[in-house]
Amino acid sequence: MKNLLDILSPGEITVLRLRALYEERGYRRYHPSRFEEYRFYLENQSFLKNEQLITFNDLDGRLMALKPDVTLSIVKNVNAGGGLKKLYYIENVYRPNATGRNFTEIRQMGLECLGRVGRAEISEVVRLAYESLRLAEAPFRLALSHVRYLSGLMRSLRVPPQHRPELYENIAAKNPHGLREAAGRAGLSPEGTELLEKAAMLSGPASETLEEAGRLCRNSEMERAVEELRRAIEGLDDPSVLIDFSIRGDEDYYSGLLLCGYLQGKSRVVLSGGEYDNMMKKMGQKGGAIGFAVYLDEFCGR
Amino acid sequence: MLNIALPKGRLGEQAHELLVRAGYAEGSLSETGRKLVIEYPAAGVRYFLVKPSDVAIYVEHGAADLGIVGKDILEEDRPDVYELLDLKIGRCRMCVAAKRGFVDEGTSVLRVATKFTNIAERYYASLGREVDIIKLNGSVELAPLLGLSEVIVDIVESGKTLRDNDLAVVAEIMPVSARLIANKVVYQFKSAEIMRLRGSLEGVTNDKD
Repeated sequence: MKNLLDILSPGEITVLRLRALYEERGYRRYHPSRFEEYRFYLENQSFLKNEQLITFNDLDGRLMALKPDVTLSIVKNVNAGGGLKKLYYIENVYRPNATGRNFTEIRQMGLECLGRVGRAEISEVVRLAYESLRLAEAPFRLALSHVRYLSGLMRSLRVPPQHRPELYENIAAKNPHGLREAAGRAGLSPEGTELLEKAAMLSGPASETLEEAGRLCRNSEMERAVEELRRAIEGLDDPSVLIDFSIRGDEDYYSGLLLCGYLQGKSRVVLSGGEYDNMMKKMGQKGGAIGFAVYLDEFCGR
Repeated sequence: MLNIALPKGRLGEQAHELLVRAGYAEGSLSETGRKLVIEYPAAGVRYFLVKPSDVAIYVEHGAADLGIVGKDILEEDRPDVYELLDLKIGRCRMCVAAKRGFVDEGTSVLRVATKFTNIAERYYASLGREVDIIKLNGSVELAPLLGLSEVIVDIVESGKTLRDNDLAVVAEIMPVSARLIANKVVYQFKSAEIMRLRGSLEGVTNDKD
């Protein structure tokens, strides 16, 4: 009989190796239900990247939806009960594709750590994101950011809340001229604009970028963000680990660290995640949470 | 080696001139004939000549690392790319135009003919104005003359085409110029090279202010 491993495709082997990595660190596979009630997503629309869903009527008449996101279901259904839950999943999610004209099925693997999440758990998840990327056996970059760094700066500069989305949009596009124009509309002084531009455009090798980020701090919120980033990457002495404050994280969802993984030769991000205590709180769960998703079609595909 | 998508046509020629001044190209684009791929190994760059509206697609999908594209196309398609620099060439305005003397009384659904359906939709949604968008692929100025629409949304450079057809600008939606864009993944691997090129281009665009 043929060796069983010989019939697996490279993508299937990668998934098994990711599973082994997560199992070894005490993460257990979670099987979420395939569908959720449509009402659930309607109530938590702000957490979804897109509000369009595939819906259908169940046999009992309830309006159901195919999952557009797994983390939401995990936060709703898993109660850490004052302890710590370490889970991973392999699921398909359904979202509109890039053209916005059709739905697409996205194969996703993810890892979530919920409940009593402390420094050690955060470092572990960052390390696992790093190890996951290494498994792809291609040059990679793991970029980190922290939502409180720029939100702290915006608070210090007294940026009116209604102007922040436009500023973040330009920051996410690394668009300095657009950022300057938006800062003008938000009523920022020339000094404030210059500081925001410097901080927002910071990106590069972790330790030197964090040093520069530390120098630009204007309040304790920013300092705490830099400190948390420093702790998160402790022991990851690798030029492939970067800091990039253009990584965007919706504050309704994310509360701290943000993670983004890239593989050379791929055209899109292959891994993303972060700390999402805000979502836990809004959904009535106690404790913190951190996790990431690996987009398997990109990660294992072409 | 950086792979850069350049738009064919006048904007591509202007962009090439800028790249020559920045030390990233030589001669003029017209000297290269009908070649679609031009390499300058000494400068570490390779250019692809593509249809202007395709530049951002090549970059977003990673077939090109960088591209030069008009802000009109970026606003219309909103590709997921970095927009690193305003090159200050190919300057024009995205405008609403209509037959001279036209006033929108707001009493009926406004018919808008345009190539830029997303920009037009977002603009009128921001005004709370109900519109019927008619997608055209060229000679948009004809639409009000033939009664196909009351207004058009299009780019206006000198305004000569509008004047020659007895049309006038009703409102300006946004200024347009060419931008340097980058693929988000490639940027993380070639940021030093990309930022060096960006810096050189910024040096030669600033004297355009």
